[in-house]
Amino acid sequence: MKKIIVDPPVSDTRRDRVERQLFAQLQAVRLNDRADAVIPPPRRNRRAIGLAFAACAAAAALYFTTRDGDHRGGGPVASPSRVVTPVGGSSQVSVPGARLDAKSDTNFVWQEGTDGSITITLERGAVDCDVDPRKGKAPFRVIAGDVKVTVVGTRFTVTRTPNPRVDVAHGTVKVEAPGGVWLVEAGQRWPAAQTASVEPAAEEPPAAEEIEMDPVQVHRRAPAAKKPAQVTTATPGPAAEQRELEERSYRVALGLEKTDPHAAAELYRAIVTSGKSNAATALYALAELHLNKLKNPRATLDDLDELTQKFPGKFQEEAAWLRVQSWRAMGKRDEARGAAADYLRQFPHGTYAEPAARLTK
Amino acid sequence: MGLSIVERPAPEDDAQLIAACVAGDAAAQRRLFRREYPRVNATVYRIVGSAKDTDDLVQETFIAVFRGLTRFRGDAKLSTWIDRIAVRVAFHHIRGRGRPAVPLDLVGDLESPGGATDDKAHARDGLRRLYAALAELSPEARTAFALFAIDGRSISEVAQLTQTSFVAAKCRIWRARREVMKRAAQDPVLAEMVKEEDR
Repeated sequence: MKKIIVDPPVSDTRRDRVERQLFAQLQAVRLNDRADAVIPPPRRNRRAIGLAFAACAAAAALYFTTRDGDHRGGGPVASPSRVVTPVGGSSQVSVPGARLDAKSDTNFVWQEGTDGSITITLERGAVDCDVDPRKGKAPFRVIAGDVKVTVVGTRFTVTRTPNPRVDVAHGTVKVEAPGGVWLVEAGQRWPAAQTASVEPAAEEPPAAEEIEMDPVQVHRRAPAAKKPAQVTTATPGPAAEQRELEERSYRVALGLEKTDPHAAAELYRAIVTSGKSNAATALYALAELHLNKLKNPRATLDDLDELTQKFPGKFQEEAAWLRVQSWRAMGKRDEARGAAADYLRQFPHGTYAEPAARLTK
Repeated sequence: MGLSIVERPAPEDDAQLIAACVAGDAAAQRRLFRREYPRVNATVYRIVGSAKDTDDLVQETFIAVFRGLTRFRGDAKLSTWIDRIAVRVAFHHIRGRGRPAVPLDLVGDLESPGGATDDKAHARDGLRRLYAALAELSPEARTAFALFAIDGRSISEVAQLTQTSFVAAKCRIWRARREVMKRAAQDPVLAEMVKEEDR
């Protein structure tokens, strides 16, 4: 057989990039005194290595560096910590508020922010994260390339190689990626299918469980009963999917409001930021949440200002009344009275006309 | 025009370079990286067939090299020791991925001797088919075959780099070759890539 010519990619730019990244990694490793390098032992034969992996998987073959000191104090963190597992190895790592199981052939860096947030940058492989509920705490994030996963208190796995993937075992996570924001619930995967093949995929209709590839849109019930529910007028197939997603998301949103309102607020904010069709609904929901659950009427007023500015005409009546309630919650009687008068001017026969009239007297 | 004698810098002694690298001399580490990069890059690329993965794996290789230099006993040449690490890293990569899809980024990496667009496209197509065939092999056979048939190593070198016996390396190459040729029998583009040399 003749030698097959396969010319490797060669360019100074490429080499410089690799060099830069390599020495940055080495520098990061040097910062960690407890670096304990492990190169997988030389392979003698397949059988022997199989036995070796079986025997030593838990103990050896871990290249794990971490900074000195106790992370659980939540103080500022000077440098990131890198965890590398070789092929066949795995490692369990505890970080504040979470336990991480780094799978075989994984490379990630975790860092605790000054606000107590945990950020994991997954460079390679897969990491299984068992995260305590983040009630009121700064976010726990996993970044895998362009994809950012924010945790709400859950158990999930993020895989970087070959393409970013998120598998959620319990709870819900928010996935931000180019093209949108997704809520991924227990038992779901994002994205539902990976396509790495050169060959074009067969034109098959997606299975029912693959609906999760579509952005999940949190749809909150319209606050005023008289408002009709927004029903999409798209073709029956997508409409059914959309409805299912909205119902599912609605349950997620409600559940989160009860169990972790901070996380719910973050999810609503993500939807607002994403600019999806239900962004106005999410923003109104956020305003309500700030007032009723998070007891932050000032934030509610800010949300309502934003709602008026970004989505003129949306939730006008509800927003006007929520403004009244916010001023009252802040103990500002005059402002509440003024807001009630505004409400009455706009909606003299509105749902809240009576209480508004009482307030103005 | 007169001739002048320019004293070439003597090739840096491996022992000195290793000592400097172990001592944490970043400049020495960079010298070692730049000296070894082209060969490591080529070897890894020829095994995995993906430029993107190659960059990551080359980094991984050199991290392993710099962290393992203290354990380098000098039994083999430094370049051989580094190649062995590179092969091991690439091998673990393809084994960890199971039967990977053909890397998309083969397209664009290939240099075609003719330079014509059609030739390039044809060559790329051939490479894609070759790596599709290799993806069907066991990681051991694929690694041995890539080192032998693509990277141009001798069977002895393949045995050394994959840390197997000469006979085992030869068997792996032979089996891989048989599978590739079987596939080439039904694929003229692949057949053109791997056809026997005219004697």
